[in-house]
Amino acid sequence: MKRRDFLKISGAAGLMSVGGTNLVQAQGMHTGPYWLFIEAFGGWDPTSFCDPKGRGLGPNGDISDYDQNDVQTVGNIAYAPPPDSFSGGGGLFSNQEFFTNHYQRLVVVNGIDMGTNSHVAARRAAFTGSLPQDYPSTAALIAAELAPDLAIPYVVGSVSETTVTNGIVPRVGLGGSELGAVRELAYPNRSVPTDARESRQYLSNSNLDLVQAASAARRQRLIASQRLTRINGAQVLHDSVRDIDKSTLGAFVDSLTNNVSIPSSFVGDSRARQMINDAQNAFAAFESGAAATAHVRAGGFDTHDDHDARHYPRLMGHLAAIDFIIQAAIDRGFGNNLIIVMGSDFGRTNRINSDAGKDHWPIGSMMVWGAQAFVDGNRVVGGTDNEQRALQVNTSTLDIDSNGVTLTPEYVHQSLRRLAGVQNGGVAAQFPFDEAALRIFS
Amino acid sequence: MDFFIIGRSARFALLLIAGFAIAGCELESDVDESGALPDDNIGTPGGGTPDPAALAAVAPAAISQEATGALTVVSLGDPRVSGGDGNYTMENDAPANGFPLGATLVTWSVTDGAGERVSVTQAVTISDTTAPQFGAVSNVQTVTTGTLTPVSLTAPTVTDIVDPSPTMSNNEPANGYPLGMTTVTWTAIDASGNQSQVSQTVMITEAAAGPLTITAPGNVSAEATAPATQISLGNATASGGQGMVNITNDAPAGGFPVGTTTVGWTATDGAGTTVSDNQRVTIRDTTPPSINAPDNITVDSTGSTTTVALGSPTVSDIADSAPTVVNNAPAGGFPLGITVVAWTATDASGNEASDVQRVTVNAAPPPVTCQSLQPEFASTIYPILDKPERCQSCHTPPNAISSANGFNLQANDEAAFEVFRAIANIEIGGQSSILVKSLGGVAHGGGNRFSANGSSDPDYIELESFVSELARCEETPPTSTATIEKGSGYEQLYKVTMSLGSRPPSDDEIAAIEARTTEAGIQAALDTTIEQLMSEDAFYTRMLELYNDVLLTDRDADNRREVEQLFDVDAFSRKDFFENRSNQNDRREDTNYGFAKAPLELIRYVLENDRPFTEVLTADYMMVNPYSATILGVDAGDPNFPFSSDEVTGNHDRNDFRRVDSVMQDDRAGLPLPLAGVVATHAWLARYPSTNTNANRHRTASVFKQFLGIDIEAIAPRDGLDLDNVIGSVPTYEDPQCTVCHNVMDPVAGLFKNRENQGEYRGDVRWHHTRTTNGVPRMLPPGYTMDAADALPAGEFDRGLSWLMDRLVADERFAKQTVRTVFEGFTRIDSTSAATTSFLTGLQSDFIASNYDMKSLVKAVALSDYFLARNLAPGENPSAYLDYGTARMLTPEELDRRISALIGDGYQWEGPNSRSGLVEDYRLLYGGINSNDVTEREVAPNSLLDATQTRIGLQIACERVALELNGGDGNLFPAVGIADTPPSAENAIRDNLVHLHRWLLGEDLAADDPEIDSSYQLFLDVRNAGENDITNACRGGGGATDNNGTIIPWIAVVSYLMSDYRFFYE
Repeated sequence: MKRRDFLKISGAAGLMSVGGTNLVQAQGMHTGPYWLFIEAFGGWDPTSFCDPKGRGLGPNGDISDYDQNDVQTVGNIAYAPPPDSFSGGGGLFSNQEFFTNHYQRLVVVNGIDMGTNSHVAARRAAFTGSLPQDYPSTAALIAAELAPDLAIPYVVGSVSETTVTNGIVPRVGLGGSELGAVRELAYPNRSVPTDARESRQYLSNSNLDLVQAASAARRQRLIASQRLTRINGAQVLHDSVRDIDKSTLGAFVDSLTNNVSIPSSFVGDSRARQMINDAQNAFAAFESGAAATAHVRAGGFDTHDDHDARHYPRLMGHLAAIDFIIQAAIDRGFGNNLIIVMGSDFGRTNRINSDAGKDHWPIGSMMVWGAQAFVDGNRVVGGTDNEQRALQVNTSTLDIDSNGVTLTPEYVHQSLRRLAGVQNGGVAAQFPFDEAALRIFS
Repeated sequence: MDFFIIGRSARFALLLIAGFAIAGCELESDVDESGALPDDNIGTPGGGTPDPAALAAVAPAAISQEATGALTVVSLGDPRVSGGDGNYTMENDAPANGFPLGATLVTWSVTDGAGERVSVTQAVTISDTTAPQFGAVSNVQTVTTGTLTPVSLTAPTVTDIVDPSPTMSNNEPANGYPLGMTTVTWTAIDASGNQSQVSQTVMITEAAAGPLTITAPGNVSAEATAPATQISLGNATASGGQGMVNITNDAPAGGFPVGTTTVGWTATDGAGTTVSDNQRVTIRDTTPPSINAPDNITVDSTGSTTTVALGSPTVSDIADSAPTVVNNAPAGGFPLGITVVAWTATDASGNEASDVQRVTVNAAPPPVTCQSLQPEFASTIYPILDKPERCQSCHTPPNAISSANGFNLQANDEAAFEVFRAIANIEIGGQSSILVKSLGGVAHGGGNRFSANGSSDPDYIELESFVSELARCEETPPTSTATIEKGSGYEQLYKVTMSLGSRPPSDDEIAAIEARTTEAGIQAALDTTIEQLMSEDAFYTRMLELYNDVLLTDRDADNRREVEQLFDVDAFSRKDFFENRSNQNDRREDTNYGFAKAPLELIRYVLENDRPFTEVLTADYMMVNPYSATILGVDAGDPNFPFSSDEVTGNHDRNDFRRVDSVMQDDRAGLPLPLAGVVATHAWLARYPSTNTNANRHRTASVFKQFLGIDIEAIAPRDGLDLDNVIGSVPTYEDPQCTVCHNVMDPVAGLFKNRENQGEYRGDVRWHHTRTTNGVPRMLPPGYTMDAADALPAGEFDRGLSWLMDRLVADERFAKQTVRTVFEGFTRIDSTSAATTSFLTGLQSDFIASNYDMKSLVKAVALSDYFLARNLAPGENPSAYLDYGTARMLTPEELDRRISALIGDGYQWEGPNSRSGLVEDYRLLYGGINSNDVTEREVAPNSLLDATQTRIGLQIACERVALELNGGDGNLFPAVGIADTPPSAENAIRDNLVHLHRWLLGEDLAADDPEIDSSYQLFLDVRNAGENDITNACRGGGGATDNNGTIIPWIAVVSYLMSDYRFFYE
């Protein structure tokens, strides 16, 4: 079923058949874990970090510009050194820092065959799990299964094809917004948002109750008398969202004050800064009990020319931002209650093109960082050969096994569903995978 | 005794003369069946027992005959003779001149040469049974001479066959004739007693009694019984005159026609005197014709209306052979459903008769749906493709080119069918790419997979036929809109003015539409209103927002990004024009604004001037503000420069965009700047920048998506890539896994070549396709497709983009995508839904036929049921109407304008912290876009959107109610004042509630409508709660106490209405 068709139907049904019940489920705090999906927009190059392939490999002899002997490891995880052109570091963050800091909680999944080198198709697959079908993002699905009744269950840096919801849960875009205004929305009846006195409200609580009761009754009348499916669906959805308990929005705004200043090391990297901002806003939403899942992203990875010069700094900025985000979560006290999924469209070619760039390569990698309660870290699952082609994996042992299976987004996301405990949920059943969940993460 | 010879006797005579003897032969005809002679009248010489050797004769048979005169000639016949010496002589004594009446015995004597003689007799009887014959008889007329008038009659002539003087007698009265007519019978009897009779009339008339006069019968009126009606005229009476008077008339022999006919009666007496009189005969026709309408007809629709051959009625009339026949069939064809056609026949007298014919137009049977073709694909086509000699060898993993070109023959399933459809729908040179590639076209890796040109290859013929079916199929059948409810005229009007004009209807518009009672009338009034709306700024604001959602070029309207990028690449030698001036920063921003807004301002110009919408892409002119014009290098002294020096150097309005024609110079290239609508603007090109290796592919994909509705990436396979078998040094040129997209994309990307990565123009470039890797071109030659016929002509290399745009707007997909953009922009209904296909195809045709008139297109959408649908008639199946009704949440910009228009008085909603509201701080929170990293509008509500709506309702009610009730200007309370309280003012309060429902929500309700009851009850409930302390924010310049108990209830009611679904959704 096409995504738009499904949207139409779910909208027509007011999301009752899929997400509506989630929207009006019994109220309750979501206690975690919280999920943060981080997208490297444009197609990152795993050989530059988590799936190292240096000189002497690849069809033309050089997948990346570093000596294969310089590949480093920490724990069970191998990672790439800087390209020779960056061997001095130049003040950049490094793989070494990233992996050393986080390997114990990190699962690297290499050799994922995205099945396409089309950006749009690939990035949807990377964050929904399905290449051929238009599924909702896994972040949306987890929120719909676990925390649909939260005020803003699924927050995103920006509305995009990787954050599609298929109508199963409301999506709230916070990127670029003046979140100070959210305080006004947290207390819509306050004439002065920071003034909690009833005498400063537009309507007294009792009168507001009268208005809201009348409004609820009218919504039901409109719904009952509306026989056009599109309008009826929109009215039902409107009614459902209005019924959501938004009391946590105030706490969310308060939690925004927990966001920390971004270090000066990120001054030249606006993409990293924006991503950190978006992630911190998501953390505020987690802390306040307003949200359960989030998606942020940063671009700059589609380096068809001057790959090393452009891609590597961008990648280091990205990993530095993630490092900062992880530390921020830990500092805010929920580092043990957080799972971070890192992905990108796909990988980049196993050779350098004539413009010193790398083009699209359907074999990619993902990484999942998580608290030990959830993620069995310090592992690499899957792999690629010397020409960066996917190696098969034994579905039981997860070892490389030529008689095994090629990892695909379906395997990874089915496993993520399993990790979230939602693979058998009612919403997940609407978007089934053929592949079985593997014990990739725990 | 005479000899006479008749019959065979003559032959005998001849024979006798010749002396032959042929005895036995001639008699054979008289031999009976036993061969013996008859034994009557047998004569023998001397009588006695015949001697077989002796001469013998038998007389002819006796004869009886009707007389033919006094003597009757009779044919006697001949005796039969035998014996003797055979030399016979026969004689008889028959009368020489014929036989008299009565019996005559004729004696025959036969003598042979030996002198032997025998005699026999023959009886001849003549009778007379023929009656005499009378000659002509003349009637007699004479004037009476007394009681009985003697008349001497002349006997009529009489003749008889036999009797020369038959006896004649008559029965005339012995003493004369009485007045009047007497018939006399003459009788003639011949000698044989045969008789005959004849009549003769004797008319005895009175002598003349005075002058001859005549009186016609009375006038006659009668109902017509035929075209010429036979009637009884009556008798005229005559008197006087001399002798017998003869009366005649001139009545038409065949009968009288309808109308009045004068019959002339004439009397003529025996003296030849004539007199006349007239009689009027009037034939009336009050009988209507007879008409039988043609049989009822049921047909399937062929469109919105359907032409139906009705046939002819059967018509007849008593008096009119050809009555006039008319019917009231709709001139433009029949709509869906039953139409009763009244047939009327009118005869020459004006009598009418009618009959009806029912014409039932059923919705056309569902067209073949594309999905229904899947089984045929599975059973017929897939097996063909799956043959090794066809496609299977390349298109099935793990063979050489796994899944090349996007279709994978791994499974004969729906997915394979859908991929096949998608590829089949891609046209190359007007043909399906499937067919082109099957025969080895467009560098198909597998070459020709069918024999020769396919025409004799059954598999290819099958494939071709199926592709043709796919081209005609529809996704799902269209549905009827007959049961769509669109609300009252006011409700429709409100939707139209709000959507297209961001304002409520004017009083005149309301009056105009409420004067209409029919749907057609309402549509006409809406049409007029839309024309007005299209002359207002808000319409253009809306259209430009709609198109910015497509182009996203507003990204840089409020920054300096574009000029900085362009200045960085030294695109303009005049970039320093505003430097070192006191307002240089403002000018930079104004200049940037001029560049950034150029695409949308071009669209505004095209719309405002009713130019073909194709000019959005083909315009060879450009829109500039004073600052962008200056930087672009146009000398202020140039007569074509659209601004004065003062306007350039002063603080002129940066929103003043004007057109410049073909005079722009890009200082870097020093060549005229080839213009090509929005795509050639720096803003568009900078919004979709390129890199050296991207080589304008991103721009190409954007053009395809924005203006042709083609998502190039969707062509790419979504079922895996075969990395073990990547082909060639330049896979995008050689490997089918890549060329599936690149063959479509790369020729067009080449056309952008003389635009640099940031959009600046470079006239002299080395084209991509001339560069090679290992001898393989890096790109296809520039063209509209890779077909040689679509290649960019060498003479056009300087203006590749302009050439591209000319081709692009001629591509029917341009019109199709424009229609979809507008339709979705105003309805947010999925334009790819099968149910809308027919409607959108019609819009597309009309759009092209109107020479790409965008306003007509918008109007057609706004007047459509899809847009106006408000509800569905009860009892209808909702699933048949899934695509009706906009159900569209307003964008933050639209909501901002709606609030300002409804509140009036320059009001704009701002948050309590005086933030600038929906178009700035709340724009993204409320699901809007920034055209940069947030480019998709949120179309579903969430808590933040909903809380915004709630706050808007509460805050505005608080700010406005007391203000307006205390005498401030406003639109909320035309029917009540602050002191109007229930129950005495219930009617006024209800009237104001009716107004608020109309004004804020577009609902057309009566004062006793249940919704008004509910609103009124809320008013009462809040009032009865008894609170009267008004908070600071809600005092509106009045006191702190709600002394009348009306302000707080009205705040409650207004906030109730302004947080309603219908306030935020369209």
